[in-house]
Amino acid sequence: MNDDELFTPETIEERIDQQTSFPSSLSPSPNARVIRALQVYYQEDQRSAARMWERLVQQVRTAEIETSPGNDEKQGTGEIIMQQNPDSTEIREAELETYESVGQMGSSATPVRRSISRRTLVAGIGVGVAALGAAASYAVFSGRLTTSWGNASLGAASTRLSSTATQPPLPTGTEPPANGKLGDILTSYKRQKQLITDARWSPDGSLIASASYDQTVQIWRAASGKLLFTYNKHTDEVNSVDWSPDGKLLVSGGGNISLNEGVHDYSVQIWSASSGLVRTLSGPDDYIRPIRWSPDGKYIAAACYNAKAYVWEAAGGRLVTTYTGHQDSLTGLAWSPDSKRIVTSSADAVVQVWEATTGRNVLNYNDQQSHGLVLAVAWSPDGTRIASSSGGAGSDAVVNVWSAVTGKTLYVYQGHVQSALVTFPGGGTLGASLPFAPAHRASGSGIGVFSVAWSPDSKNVASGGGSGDGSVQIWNPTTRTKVFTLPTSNGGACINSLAWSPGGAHMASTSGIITTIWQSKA
Amino acid sequence: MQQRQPRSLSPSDETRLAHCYSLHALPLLAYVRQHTPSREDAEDIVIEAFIAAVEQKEASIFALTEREQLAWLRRVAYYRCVDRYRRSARYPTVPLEKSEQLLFEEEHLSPEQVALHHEEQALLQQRLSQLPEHYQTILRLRFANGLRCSEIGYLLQKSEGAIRVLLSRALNTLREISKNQSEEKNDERR
Repeated sequence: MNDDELFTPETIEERIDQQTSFPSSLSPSPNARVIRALQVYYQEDQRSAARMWERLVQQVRTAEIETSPGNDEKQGTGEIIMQQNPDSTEIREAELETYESVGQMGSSATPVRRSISRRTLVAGIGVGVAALGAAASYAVFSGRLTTSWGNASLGAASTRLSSTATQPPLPTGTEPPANGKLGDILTSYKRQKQLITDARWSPDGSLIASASYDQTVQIWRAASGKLLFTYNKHTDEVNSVDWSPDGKLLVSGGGNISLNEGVHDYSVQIWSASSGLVRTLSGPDDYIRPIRWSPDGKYIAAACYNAKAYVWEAAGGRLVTTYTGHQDSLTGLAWSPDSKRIVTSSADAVVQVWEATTGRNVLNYNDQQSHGLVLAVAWSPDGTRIASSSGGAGSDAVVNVWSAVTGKTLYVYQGHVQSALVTFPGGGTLGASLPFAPAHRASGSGIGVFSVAWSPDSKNVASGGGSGDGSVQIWNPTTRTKVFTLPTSNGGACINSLAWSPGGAHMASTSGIITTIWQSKA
Repeated sequence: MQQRQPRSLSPSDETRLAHCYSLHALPLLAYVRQHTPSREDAEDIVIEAFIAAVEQKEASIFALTEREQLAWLRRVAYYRCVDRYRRSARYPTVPLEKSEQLLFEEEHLSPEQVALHHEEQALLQQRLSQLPEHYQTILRLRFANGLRCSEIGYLLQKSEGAIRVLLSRALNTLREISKNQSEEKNDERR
């Protein structure tokens, strides 16, 4: 590649990359000089933007204080947000739309909204098609934009702004309409950089909160994947998140397993998008998963790797119960619909039902012991049945459905991949998507059913396979028939979390770094 | 001091301002820089334009379309530029000691290098402003936002090939300019 030649369309990207990665300092060619100058020029523009924003905010606030002396509250909270703005993604997208309109390219004289094509693209990525081609992946593309706005270029100003940011409350909305057919992918969300551990629907069905190993919880629109808020007060992996039944608050927590070196954050944090951290719940001293808000909104329960379960009052933060009935680390937890009882699953393979406020053991379910470790548990919304799934080294990937009253086994579902010989394709890139449940970490095998969820009408159960399987299967435990299988879309990566939308028309499933929203109703 | 209108912004207004700023700050800065001698002056004027927008009480700028917003901001900025030309004859813009300090702090460069750098940047700015607007858009998306040609093409509804052609043309134009300039300088030295 001769540096003195003109730029050609064929090699333009390579030329720019070459110069930006390895700038030649000695007698630079005209090409190198141009590229370097442009780089500096635009970097300075970005710095200007940050500086100006800081001054603008300062001036607007100073004027407010000058002219309204009685308004003391404003001084502390009047910070204007740019970086951590709930609509920050919208801003970036809108910004690009402006470029489209200002650019006046070709025949399109008016800005063209592209939500339809974007959604198509997103869906395309979901089924693994759009890695190449005319349009680069939406996630990569947005990620790049985030980077260019998000860190060095905005520098100190953005750090300062985001650290004291206040937020308007999250928008309310309705569940996306079910216009397609069963299994149609609506959104494939991959803004979080590391494994997604949990994804939960807001009570109105319009938003998703997803927790990740990247130490964040992100709130985004289920219909479009548009990021609205990022919660980043955790200093360790976030393993679980849940909404309060009124949709105003969220609770999240996690931490890494204490076998690993280092300081861990096992705090359970209650927060809202508008006011940030509201309360920290204390008690657990080890890896937590899952955390669930009681259906009546009064309590929060968390299952811990130290074999204990904790129940707190949501309002005061008081620790009500510490349940110590299990012999081994907890893997799953679910509330009864009346908020009186809790069912917990454990690596000791006994599923236990107990009273939430007293910790009194009500029922032990032992029928699953022959299958290995119990990995997840779910209580049917009508309160009558419990589904618990199993897996681990040398065990079966089955889901048991049993009576919540008598503990009698009603059905054992065996539709998931059983063999440990399934290959795990991909290697490096899928490293981050290895399943994470404590039982699995201990055993080193991905076989099992790692997530299970009842449909809101209590008719069907959805179960998510371990690595090598990666499918989500919907089946009817009463008629004992399979309704639907969503094949793996992520190289067989484990399904770590499953959640039906409140109306039952959609499902949120997480696999690796992808959260997929798809239609779960015909 | 001039008495300002109260500007008690509601949270939604704050969000709108942030949105509006994110949309228009950079295009507006590029525009203002064509009319001002220094980046610092340009920054001042952009801020003034946004403050004027906030102070706009009768008809909120946020109610306008994005294009109208930019047009409005440009017009305000233009008048501020003119105003600044008038006043600059009477008021020095930045105290010399202060500017010297700023330069050293920010650039870690000697005064000569700073001057050279400024000259280069000023020339580039001038050349860029002569390029058609869609070239500037592509350059900005490539160098400020770090997008690939395929991504720019997707945004602007053009093929990747078309973007590659436009981008290489834009760079060749700028390259020719800078080449001619260095030749001119060499000639001057001889």
